[in-house]
Amino acid sequence: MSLGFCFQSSFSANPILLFAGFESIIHEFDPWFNFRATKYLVANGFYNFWDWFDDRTWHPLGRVTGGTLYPGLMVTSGVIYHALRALTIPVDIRNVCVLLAPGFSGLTAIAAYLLTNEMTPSPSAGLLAALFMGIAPGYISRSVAGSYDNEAIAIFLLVFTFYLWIKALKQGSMLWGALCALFYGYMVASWGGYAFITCLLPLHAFVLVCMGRYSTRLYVAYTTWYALGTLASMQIPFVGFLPVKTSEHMPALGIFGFLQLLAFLDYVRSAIPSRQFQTFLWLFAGAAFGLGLLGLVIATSAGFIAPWSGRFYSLFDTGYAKIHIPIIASVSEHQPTAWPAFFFDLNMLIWLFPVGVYLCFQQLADEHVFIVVYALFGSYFAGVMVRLMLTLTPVVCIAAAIAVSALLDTYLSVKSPKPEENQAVEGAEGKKAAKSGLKATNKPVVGVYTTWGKGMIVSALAVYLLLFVLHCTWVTSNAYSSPSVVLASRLPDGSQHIIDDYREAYQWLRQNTREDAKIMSWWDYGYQIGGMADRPTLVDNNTWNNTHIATVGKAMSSSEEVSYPIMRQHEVDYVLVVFGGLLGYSGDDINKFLWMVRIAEGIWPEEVSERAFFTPRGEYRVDGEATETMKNSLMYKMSYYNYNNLFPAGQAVDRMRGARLPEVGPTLSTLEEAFTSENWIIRIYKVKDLDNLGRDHSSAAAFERGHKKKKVTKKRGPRVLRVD
Amino acid sequence: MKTSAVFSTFLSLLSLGSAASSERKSSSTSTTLPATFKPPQVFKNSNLVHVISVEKNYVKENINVLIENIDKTAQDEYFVPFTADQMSRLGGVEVKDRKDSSAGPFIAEAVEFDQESDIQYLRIRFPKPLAPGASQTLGITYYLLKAYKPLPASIKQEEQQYLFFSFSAYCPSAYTTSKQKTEVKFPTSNIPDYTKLPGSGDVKEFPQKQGSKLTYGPFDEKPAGATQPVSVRFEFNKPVTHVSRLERDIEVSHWGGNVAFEERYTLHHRGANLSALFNRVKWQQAQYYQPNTFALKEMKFPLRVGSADAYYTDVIGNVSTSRFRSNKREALLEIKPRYPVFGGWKYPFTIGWNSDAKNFLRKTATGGFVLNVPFLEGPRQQEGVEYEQVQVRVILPEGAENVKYHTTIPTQSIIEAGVEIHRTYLDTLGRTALVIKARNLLDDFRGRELTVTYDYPLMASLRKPLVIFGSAMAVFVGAWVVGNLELKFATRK
Amino acid sequence: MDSSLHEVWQAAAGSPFVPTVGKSSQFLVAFILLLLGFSLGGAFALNRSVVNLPVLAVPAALALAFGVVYMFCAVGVYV
Repeated sequence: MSLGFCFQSSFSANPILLFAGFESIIHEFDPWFNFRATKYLVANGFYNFWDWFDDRTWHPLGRVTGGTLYPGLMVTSGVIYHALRALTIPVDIRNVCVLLAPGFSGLTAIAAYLLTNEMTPSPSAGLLAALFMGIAPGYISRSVAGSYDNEAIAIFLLVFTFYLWIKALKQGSMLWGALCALFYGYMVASWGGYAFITCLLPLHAFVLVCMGRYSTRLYVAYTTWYALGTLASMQIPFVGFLPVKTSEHMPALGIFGFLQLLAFLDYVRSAIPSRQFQTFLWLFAGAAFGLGLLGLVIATSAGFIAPWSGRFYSLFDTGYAKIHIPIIASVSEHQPTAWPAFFFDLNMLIWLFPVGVYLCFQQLADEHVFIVVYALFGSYFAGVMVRLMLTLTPVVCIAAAIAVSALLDTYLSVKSPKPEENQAVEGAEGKKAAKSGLKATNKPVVGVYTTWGKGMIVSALAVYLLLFVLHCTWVTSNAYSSPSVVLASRLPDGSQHIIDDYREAYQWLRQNTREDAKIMSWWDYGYQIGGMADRPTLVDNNTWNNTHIATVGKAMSSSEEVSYPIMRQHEVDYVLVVFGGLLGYSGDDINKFLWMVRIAEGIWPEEVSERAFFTPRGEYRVDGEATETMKNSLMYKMSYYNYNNLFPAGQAVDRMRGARLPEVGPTLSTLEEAFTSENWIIRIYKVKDLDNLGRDHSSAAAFERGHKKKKVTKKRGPRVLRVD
Repeated sequence: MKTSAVFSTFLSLLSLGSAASSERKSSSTSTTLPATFKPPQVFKNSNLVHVISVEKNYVKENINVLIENIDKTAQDEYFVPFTADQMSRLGGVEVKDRKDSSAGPFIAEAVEFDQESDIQYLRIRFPKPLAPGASQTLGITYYLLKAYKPLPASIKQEEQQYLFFSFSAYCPSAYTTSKQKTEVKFPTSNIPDYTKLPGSGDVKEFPQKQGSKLTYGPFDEKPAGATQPVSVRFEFNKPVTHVSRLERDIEVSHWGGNVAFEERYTLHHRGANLSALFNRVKWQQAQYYQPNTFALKEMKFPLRVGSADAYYTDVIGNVSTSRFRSNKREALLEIKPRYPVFGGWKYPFTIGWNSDAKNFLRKTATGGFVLNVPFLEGPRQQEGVEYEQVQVRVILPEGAENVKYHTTIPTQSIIEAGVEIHRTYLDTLGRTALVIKARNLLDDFRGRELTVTYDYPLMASLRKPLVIFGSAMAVFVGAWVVGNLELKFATRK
Repeated sequence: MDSSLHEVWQAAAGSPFVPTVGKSSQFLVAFILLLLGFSLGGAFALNRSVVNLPVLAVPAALALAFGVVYMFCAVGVYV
């Protein structure tokens, strides 16, 4: 056991080493919000956090942040922070947040060890599972230092809840069931993915019942978990009454009822003679099923139970989101998984995984059924959404560990088995060996019993394991450990050059604009602006209000005449765009632009049209051939404003899209350039105030440029909103 | 309960230790005089040369005056008038005897008599009274912060910056001045505007311009309080760097043998604002064609030799645009702000570094310790840096007592000093921290010494390991007790 | 303020402060002490008895105490 812990801690140290290239910094987008919320929690206490209304996001709506987040992560780091302070180690809250994910990945490895030990008597399986869990890229993407996201603790809770469930089920123990419910409650408080547990445990129970394995152990474990777990989950304001109202939670309730019926039948069977019981059973089951179904239909149509939410539909029809909810489809994590991603994230585990599942079939006790069910369920969802690869990873690690340990256990023992053992091994492994054991032992040692054969297999496995470790290290250092706020590049002499444009611009905003200056940007950058620049934003990564996002999308994709009134109405002071043309940075706004257009089109189909951004030949272009709508859109203008001055006349090139830009750059009349970062990644524009002389901005700007009477060459947008 | 008792005894020890500092606190506050106070006319300024230097982004003034006691009794107090506004921006006052540098310390301090009055006085107390009829040459040096206004107040990114400064051509004095002249030194000879005064004697018009210097005077006898406002406007195409607050922490560690420095700057640029917003294209082009700009692009911090592990961060995190070079001869930290800082912009940042304790800390013969560190380090810039508020905190080890300090910073600049408790890693009682608050300091004072002596008993130094030892033992004994309890449960009759 | 302090500083020129364990060896010392502390602590945990309390627990606690202090210094938090 203690050996196992050493093992795990050494492997969970892996993610920490990998971030050493950068400083301790919060990664990506969502972690910035979590970090900001944690700071709020630490500064203002738990009850204020619960009631937190954030007026610095979603201007002018605000967000009831305390009631619309999963507080588990923030509370966890808050508790760690205060505990360390009590131990006279006043660590900065940022470092607690940065190192939380690697810390929990160590715990996840331990949980995987425990869960695997429930599956197989071989101790090596548990250790291997812990090892795989510690380094599998599919999980490390969420456990590198700085990846301060809900998933960081949620995967540990997921695996540990499953372990407790198996424990409870095996022993039929109310204590383990209650513990399972407790950790389930913690999971609910941490991540929206708790629905995975809510669906998987009833499914497991249902499969067991269908296999005729109903037992009082199952009854005790399930009912304890369901009753306590549901109560616990309802304590979270964001979840509230959802567990009894929405369809996602109905399977759990249904199985709960079903188990009551079974228990009742069990009791009746022991009380009345079996002949009568047969009739009773059929009548009773039919009536119960009919009533249940009827109740569900009535409750759904009457609106007591919400139908499946859009996000859930997209789990069954991958095309659904693209058509109906572009905002979900616009996130790359919500795309269906491409098959190389499985190999990229799981490497050799992906082909060991079926072997492990097969070995589970061989024994097929209650807990093995769980692995089988989990494997099927998890594989389906991982295929639907890239993000859900995360929930598949634990079961893949466990199954693969079972497979590898079975192989190692078989081939690592050097001794040739004695006849009786031979018989036993064959029996256990279910081989179709000849029954005449005596004859077999008389023959010379061949096949699986030869030493060199064993050596071959074991060394091949060792090589595979080494390759796996190499692959994991490579993936982690290349794909997952870059904080995305800071970009690293190599100079010609090989030294590392850090491109820090995001923080340059955010710091500029923070220091040199008014405290309450409203920043409009695409929602991806909302959390970062809130966290690093500390300025109010219009939209952010908590995409709760599609219309508001569409409004921003419309402002970005329309011409200045249309956008200006929108920006005035929303009191926008600055507009921030990300532009990768100079550096060849792919994650910029022009590349995301079509999603803005699509989302805006979803709300204003008659004013914004995706088609108008494509050339007649159906190309999305930014050079001289771009459509008029494209060239007049605010996003295009802001991205390329002044850009051609950087090059000799007529040679301006967008390095990202490899396009030569028109000789005359776009002109802006309602905005003025306020700041551009060193490598032009972030460009900030200030929204002009109304003109002093009451002119409209385009004529005022034309006057400034020196042509007094500029002919109206520009096409007006489809409709001009005026606010006076 | 017990800890609080220990704490209070500890505090009382501290208060003994800080007696010296509280004493000096009272002497640094201004002396109160009746509201109708007027300096007695006991001196005459026989000859006065007033040198105003506007070469840097603060004003350095130097008054060399030959004074004569015209009273019948010996006098030891000389008053220098300032406006109330100047008084709040006045810093670094130092007075010397020009003839005799060994003459004891001249104590300069503000006189408090009427808050409403526009004229405030600085009193200079002589080391020994000046006999009737005798004369003495005083050299009074002081600095004025926030002295300029950019004119025009906002300019284009690529334009030259001009500053505007107004002062009196007659040196303000509380006494009759027989003969005086005022010299103004500029950073360049480009001085487009300055007030012209009618000349006297063989000079037709004041001032006379020689290169980058203007001279008003010599003037004949002027009565006490005579002023002649004049103003100048001159080219200053360098950043007007103003640090509104500097917090400097010096943390001494005996266990680690380390002295850690951390400085937190709130930096402003008080120069001309941008009339059009920042334009990156122009900026990048100007980097090649015309690198001379009034924006702040870089700062150089020459640190003491032996400094190591330098870091440079701001609110968001590490700033990657810095270079640190440390070898046997020098330790130079060069930092660039995340963005060029233009007039009206702000850029707060933090830097820090470590150094071996042996460079700053020595053992005294009496068994105590003496620490000698620079009071102020900060950037060395050609255009100068001014500091409005400076807080230096020397964090001594936990349990250090009997703290005394001495600094060569002008006493007039120090507002208050005291001993506080600072709690951080592994502290149970908190560390003794000497906090000195000063104002209106300049980079001219970088390198001035701060010497601190303290006692650090062996038991205090063993406190940290003992606390951990105690906790570990508690765990072990607890484990043993719990283990035994379980055994009792398990034993059968 | 006491201007004699400068002389105290000058007088002490011959005795600069040198820590018991130099900066370069802090990590090694801390690591060895912590290793010792944890192994002794582990030994005590496996075999808890009154005799082992002074024999194992006290040295373990001592090693841990100094090990922790030096480990803090070694990682850059100079306490």
